[in-house]
Amino acid sequence: MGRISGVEAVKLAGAMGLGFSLLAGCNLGALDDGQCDADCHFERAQVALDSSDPTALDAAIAAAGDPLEQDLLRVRLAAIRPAQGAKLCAGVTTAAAKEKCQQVVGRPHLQGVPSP
Amino acid sequence: MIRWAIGLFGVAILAGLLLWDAGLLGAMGPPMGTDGGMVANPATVQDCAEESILELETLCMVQVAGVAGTRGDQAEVNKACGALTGFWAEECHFRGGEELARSGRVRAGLQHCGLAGRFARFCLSHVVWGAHPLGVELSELPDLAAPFLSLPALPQETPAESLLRSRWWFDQYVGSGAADPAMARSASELDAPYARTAWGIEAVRLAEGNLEQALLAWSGSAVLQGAPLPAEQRIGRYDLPFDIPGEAVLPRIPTFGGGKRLLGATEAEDVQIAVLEGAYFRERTGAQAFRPFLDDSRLRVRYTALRCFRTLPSPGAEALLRTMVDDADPIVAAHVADALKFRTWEGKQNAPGLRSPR
Repeated sequence: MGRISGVEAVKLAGAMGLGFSLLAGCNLGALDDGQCDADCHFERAQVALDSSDPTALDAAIAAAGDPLEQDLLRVRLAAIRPAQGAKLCAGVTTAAAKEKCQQVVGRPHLQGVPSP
Repeated sequence: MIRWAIGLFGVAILAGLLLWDAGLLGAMGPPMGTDGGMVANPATVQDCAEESILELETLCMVQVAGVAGTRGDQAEVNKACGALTGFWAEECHFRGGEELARSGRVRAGLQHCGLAGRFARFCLSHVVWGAHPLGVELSELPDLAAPFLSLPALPQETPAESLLRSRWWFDQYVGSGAADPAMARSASELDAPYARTAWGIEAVRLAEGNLEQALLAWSGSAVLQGAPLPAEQRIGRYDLPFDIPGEAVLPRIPTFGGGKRLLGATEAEDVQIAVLEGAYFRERTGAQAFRPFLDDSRLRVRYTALRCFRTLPSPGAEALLRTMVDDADPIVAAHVADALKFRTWEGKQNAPGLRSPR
């Protein structure tokens, strides 16, 4: 795995490293709409995903606001529901999120893992 | 206040990353992880401690297992996979196992495949048919297969030892540059069919697709010889086994990739089948090579030729197959019906029974 460019470093830091960790670790509700933090968005998106309602899922992901947050949400959901990884990962935009998604969608046997 | 603190902290971190990327903080080390300073490129379990989100930590551990496997570090694979549970633990052993085997540590790789739970069969198949030769003694195969004995098996599933035996013989012949039948002829009763499969592949390759010449080489005194192939070129065409009623219960052994071949009722019949399978493996062999065997009096030879013929494109394939729809032999008739239903000779993607070379 090679080194990455400065621009990529910033993107990655924001998307997967400190950015995500920071966003998840702090109460984003205070920065967002005052009601829902990162884990709360994750829980809501999980419910929407399990409801099989694509509109509800899109809305739940969009509610996370920042595109980096949305990518994080998609990666987290793909990790717990790999059978739906292709759908979730189709929407990621950052290089780091795409790389993480590849660990799910690049492994076809994971598509057979049933939801709990 | 919190917002300001986070903002300032974020700016400081980003500035630090840019400085580090420019080499200005080299002496201090990267602010995150060890490889490029990114948790996205973890090399050890320790790197994954940077992740505060469970799902990202899980993916990180699996990635570490793969990376550690690549460098032959089984201890780190154990550490990474031991930190996980459920299907991600199984996937972790799969990743670690296949990479360990690819690095030349086949035994360690198979041990991890045995821990891959629901993915154990995939892992086994990857390891057995990966680019790296097994590099073990024939007598070691039962021991290597041991981790898979306790796993639940599907009815049509090939035992692990059988897969390993197939690969072991493949390594002896395929791409070696010599199709000397002596070794296959002197193989044990258990090994002989596997040995003949591998011999057939090499014989057809060295005979440049001349099936008659390959067949004669089995009993003749002259050994077919030619240029050896590099390991990465020892690949060929294979298909998934058809589960045709009647045929599926006949004795079969695994061949290259995920394929299976019928065993002949006699040695001579088995050599003929092995040659046909060798012809199928050779990607330049066209459907016409199998046509003379479509009405062979030996049924298993006929079934083999039909299976190969029906999955390869050829002009007039459909018309010929239609003449066989009402064949008196129920297995031939079932094969033909299946071929016409799925139009397997057209080589459509995802058509049952037709796989591209890996």
